[in-house]
Amino acid sequence: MTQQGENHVLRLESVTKVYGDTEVLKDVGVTVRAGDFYVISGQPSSGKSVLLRLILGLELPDLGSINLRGEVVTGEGPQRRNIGYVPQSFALFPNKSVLDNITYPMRVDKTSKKIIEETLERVSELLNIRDLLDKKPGQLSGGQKQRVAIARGLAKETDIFVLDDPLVGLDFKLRERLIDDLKKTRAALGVTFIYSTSDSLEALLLANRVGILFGGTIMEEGELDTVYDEPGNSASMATLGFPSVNFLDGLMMKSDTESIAQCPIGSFPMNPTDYEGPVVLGIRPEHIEIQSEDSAQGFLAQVLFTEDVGGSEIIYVESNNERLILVLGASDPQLSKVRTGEFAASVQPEHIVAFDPNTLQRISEGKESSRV
Amino acid sequence: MTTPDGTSSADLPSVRLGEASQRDRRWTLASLFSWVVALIFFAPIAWIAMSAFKTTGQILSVPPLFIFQPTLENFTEMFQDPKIPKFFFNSVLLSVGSVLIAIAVSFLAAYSFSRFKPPGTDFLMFLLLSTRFVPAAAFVIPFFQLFGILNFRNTYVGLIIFYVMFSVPFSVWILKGFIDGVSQRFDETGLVNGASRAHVIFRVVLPQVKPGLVAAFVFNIIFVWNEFLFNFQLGGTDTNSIPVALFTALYQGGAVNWTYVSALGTAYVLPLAVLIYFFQKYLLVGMTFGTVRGEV
Repeated sequence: MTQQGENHVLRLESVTKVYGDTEVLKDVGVTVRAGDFYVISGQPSSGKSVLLRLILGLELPDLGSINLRGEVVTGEGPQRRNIGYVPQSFALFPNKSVLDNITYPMRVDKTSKKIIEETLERVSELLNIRDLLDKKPGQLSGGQKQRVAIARGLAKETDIFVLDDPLVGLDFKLRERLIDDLKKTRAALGVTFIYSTSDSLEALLLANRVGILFGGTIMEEGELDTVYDEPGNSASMATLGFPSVNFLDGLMMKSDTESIAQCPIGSFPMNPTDYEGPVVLGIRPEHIEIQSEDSAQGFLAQVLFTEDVGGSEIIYVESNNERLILVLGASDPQLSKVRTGEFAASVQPEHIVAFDPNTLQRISEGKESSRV
Repeated sequence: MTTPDGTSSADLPSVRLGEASQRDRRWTLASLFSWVVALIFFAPIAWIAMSAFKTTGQILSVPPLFIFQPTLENFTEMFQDPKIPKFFFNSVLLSVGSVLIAIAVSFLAAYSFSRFKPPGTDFLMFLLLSTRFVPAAAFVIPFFQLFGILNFRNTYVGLIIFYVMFSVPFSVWILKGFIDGVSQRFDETGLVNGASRAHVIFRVVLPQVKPGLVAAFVFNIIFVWNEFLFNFQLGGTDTNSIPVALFTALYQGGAVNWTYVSALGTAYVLPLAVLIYFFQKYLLVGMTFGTVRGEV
């Protein structure tokens, strides 16, 4: 693996896939570089699986091109692409033992016995399934099957792996562990992972690069931190948000020198833009702050209910008929204010992003303010 | 009701006891009735099976003999007839041969219908099965003519082709049901890992539909083993199977040869009875076209 900047192993350009009358994917562009942990993030049934199937060659695109390892493979079937695959539904061969399931990709490839044994050792250690090797899939629990399926996907001599939402439905503890393991595995092997999920938290914890799949197309693609901090559209912000991002309807107004965004929780100075009219304002839950004392700044919020998610508390509030979510650490002293049922809250303008409600594209963001 | 020590027992238990015995009586009556019905239907088979071990005199005796000294003479005599091994050979060759070919063809067809879903799959599946819904007698004449033109009459090739055609519809239905039950993700797992389509069909899917293959085999063997009409019409002395032999023996020499018919009939039923005994759970699968698979 070379360390060139534009060293992409996979590039999809203007890919469109049609089923019947429905354009499932339209004009999709994806660039995956060698060594990426690339997460395709999108709502359930947004077309993530179809996109992965196009990458694998299980479906062929109606338009566009797919470039794999520097070669155009647009019309090639899956056999020629040499990609490791963890399907969403496990698909463990019921008639084969766990061991035979895991070694299957290598046996089909006629990999040497030595490498098969080494790989088996490595993946069964990694996924903690060494005790299961002699069992049949029918004797395994759901979580065990999932781990075996991941092990089989990884047990292939190749540089690119596709994982279709492999952690969906697993219990929290196991998921946490596997997230850690998957990250380590990718790093240790120096390979490329292409991973789909509808879970924001998974995307945030795993990805170094993300592609936001929304409305049948990749709305935005880039480094995780960039897309998270500077979302180019409201879909990106919504997809990469845990807990859910607050979106408020507002109005952008313009004077000679500045732009102001108005919404039910206040007016905020924005970086100058020519746009005037309705906007959607995005505010992440962690950016809503509880005021220490009742100050003139901010807005009054009534607590609807709270939810303890281990380590932090999600607080659902209402203010001026708008529902908002904010989040506090479980030991945050401000929680005492929450318990009173009502408190004053505020948002620093620089944490507000304004989007065009029709195109979803970013228009402007709040002005950097010097704190009082 | 009194207990052994003379005291009157509590009312409640005695009432329960009465109800229970009433239920028992009804149960006994019901099972008695069932046994009578079952025995009536089983009687002809029992009669043939018993007659196979009787002398002609014992067979025809009135009232019928239930206790007698069994003899194997009928069988030894029957197998001295040089035509008999030939009939058995024909029956086995035609049924096993044609059903095996039919299953190979049907498995591939069912895979194609299940996975590639060619245009008109539903209609083709219906058309396939419709050939088995029409009465066989309606097709005797056209087949007789056709087999005459093709010189297929009284040849193994001709009859095997006929029975393959006879066995394909049910086999495709049964096997498609089974292959539909194998997720396409299995095929894809194979393909993604570089396996050929043939590998997927024979190494990935086939091992998972083995019960379906057994069901299709057993179900169709019964049909072909028992088939009489077309073997009688399209076959001849070289290719006749046991049903035709039984029929022709029945009307030989002006009188019915009872010992011959009963011995042959018994020997004919036996292999199938054994097969069905060991594979009966697969019959349900066959009768439901592979849609009920829980048992196998």
